[in-house]
Amino acid sequence: MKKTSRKTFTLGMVFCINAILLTGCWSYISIEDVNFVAGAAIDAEKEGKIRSTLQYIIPQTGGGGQSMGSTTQQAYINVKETGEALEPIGWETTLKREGSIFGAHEKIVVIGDKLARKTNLEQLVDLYYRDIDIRGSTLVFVSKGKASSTLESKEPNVIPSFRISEIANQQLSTRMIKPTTLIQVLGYMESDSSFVVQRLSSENGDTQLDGAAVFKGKTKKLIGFFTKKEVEGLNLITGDSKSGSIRAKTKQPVYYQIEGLKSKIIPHVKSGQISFQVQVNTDGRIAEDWKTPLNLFENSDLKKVEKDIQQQIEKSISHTLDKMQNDLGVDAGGFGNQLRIQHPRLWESVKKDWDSQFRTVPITTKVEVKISDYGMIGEKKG
Amino acid sequence: MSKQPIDKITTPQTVVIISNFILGIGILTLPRTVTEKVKTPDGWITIILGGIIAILVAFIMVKLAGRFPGKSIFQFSKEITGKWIGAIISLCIILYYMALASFELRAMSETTRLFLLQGTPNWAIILPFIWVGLYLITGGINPIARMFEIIFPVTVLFFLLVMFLGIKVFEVDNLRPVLGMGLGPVMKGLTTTSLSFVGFEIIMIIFMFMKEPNRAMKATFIGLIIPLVFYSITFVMVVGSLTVDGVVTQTWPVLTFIRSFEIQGLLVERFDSLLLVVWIMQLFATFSVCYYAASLGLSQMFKKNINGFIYGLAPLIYIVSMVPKNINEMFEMGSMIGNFTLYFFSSVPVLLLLITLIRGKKS
Repeated sequence: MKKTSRKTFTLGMVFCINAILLTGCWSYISIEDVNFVAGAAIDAEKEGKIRSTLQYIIPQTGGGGQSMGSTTQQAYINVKETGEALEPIGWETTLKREGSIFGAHEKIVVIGDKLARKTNLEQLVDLYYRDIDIRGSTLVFVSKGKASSTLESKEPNVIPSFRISEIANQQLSTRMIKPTTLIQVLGYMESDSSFVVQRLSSENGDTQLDGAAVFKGKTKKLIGFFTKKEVEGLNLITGDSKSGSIRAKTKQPVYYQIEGLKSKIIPHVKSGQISFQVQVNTDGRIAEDWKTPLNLFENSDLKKVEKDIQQQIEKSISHTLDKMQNDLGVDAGGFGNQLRIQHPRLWESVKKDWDSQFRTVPITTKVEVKISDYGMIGEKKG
Repeated sequence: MSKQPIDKITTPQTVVIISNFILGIGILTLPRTVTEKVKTPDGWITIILGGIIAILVAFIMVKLAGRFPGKSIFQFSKEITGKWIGAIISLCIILYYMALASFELRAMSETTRLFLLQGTPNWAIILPFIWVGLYLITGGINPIARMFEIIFPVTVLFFLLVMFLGIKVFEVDNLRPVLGMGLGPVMKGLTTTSLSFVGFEIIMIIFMFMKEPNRAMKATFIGLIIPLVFYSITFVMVVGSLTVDGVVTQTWPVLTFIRSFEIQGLLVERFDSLLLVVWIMQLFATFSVCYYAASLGLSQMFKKNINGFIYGLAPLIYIVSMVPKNINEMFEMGSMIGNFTLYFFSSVPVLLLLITLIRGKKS
């Protein structure tokens, strides 16, 4: 009798202690008290200060943007603050708005072009790498003009950061570059190689992916831009693209749609002289053809278009190369990387001022275009 | 081991104990520690070479232990070298295991505090770990082995899954060229990688528990091959994603790697917490073996029941684990233990084996 009551007592104690010790709300934070950051923008401010814009998601309508009814409440709010660096800015914002900043869902970082031109990127984004909430998969952008305005949208239900990251990740067109994540940028910066990140431009609340920003590896500062057209050339060099179209050099529009694109940069070294060959292989179809009359059933006509497209690709590439070598003077196409792989010992001796050597390196291109079909129309009478 | 009957473990259990013991906190920093030394993307070759060295040393240990069936190094070192020197050797090994247990604990709590339980004090993570470990090892080697048999497949599966999901950010160009600068740089990292296999010396202790001691060689070999494959995959994936220059900047490169991709369409997008939770089991395995080995050593040295030593060691391990004041001191503690292992376990077993061969001693 005595034994059982003691057992019950022990068991009871265990339950009580468990109830206290094993409950899950030990250090909970309710979700209303957390500000989810969707994206961030950094701009230059007067007196060397920087201004950060944090885009908070407003929980009621946030997520997916498919809120019900005719609510016109914005799905996000942009909180702005200025300071010397990102850390004090973060604390400053907590004086203005309730809730802590939670960066684990940050999708994009936009850096204003003015700031990127004068500040070392490595210093600027240090916090993003150090912070354990922010992930290496966060995408990096540079804005044309104010970075904060790229995080604005006319549609209240759309969270601009999410939209931008979606567009970038889908990477539908050859006119945008492969999405650059923080972790990739880290690799470029640590190896002192020049690199490109996607540029954003904003007009009347419409943000679009508009060309690319080029960073010089040595200084880690922005030195120039590629236009959309030049980005196309860059993508043809690197092969980092899935789809897009190229116009033939005809009076009336004829468009070739890229279905497959493979590029290869081959370094050649002959008695210490470095040269490169860019090999581009692409196949695709004719997507639009305004010419009349035409007969694409005829193979010779098809070959003519092929030849034309091939010349256009060569032109596009050489234009981008010209900009890289003569205008910007940096290797933003990964030529050095291929040299490192194929001729590691030579690379050791040239890597120190590769960008300046790259200016005078001869580069040839070899393009092969294969038009496999032309859709539903083969012949048109004039 | 006084009057208790000696538990026996099967050969697969031996393999699992060795593998589980080797795989610890080291894998989370390995890509950095290797690349720091090698400076080219060839670290994976270094890892394989380091593994081969470890296997060679392990064979010497098995040969040595095989001469004294039913005895651990704590006992046969005394037989070979006499009472005093044997005691010193045993004490060194015991201290080593104690320090290693503390280090694993501390490293575990540092990563957990950083990534999973922010704001939780170190003691609150370390103490439950010690308690659970204590509970496990009071059961002896058999419960430990069975526990490891459960831990092993779970951790292996999740770890490999998460590693291969990172294929999205993996770029083979980052690993090229292979041997671009020749074999020179590869050799520089050899100490680091051989050290990453430390843990196989446990065979000198668990050998006495083996049901089929004649298969110890095979068990050790497989037990080492598994971590070798693990390390190589980890290195290739992490350096292939972060690049050589990027990987050396990261405190926990493997965790950085896992945080640098998101997979849409699966049940979860992010895998860092998942992997850490799973990996804590692996750290627990390493910790409990260390703890057990230290207690066993003490009990065999003083010929007393092991339980007293198990309870006695708990507070000591806790105190030692709290000694490093910051993360740098923690890493320093790790390399101190590593250096000790390098000199101690590469020389002592060889010497012991030589003495036994010369004296022709056999148990």
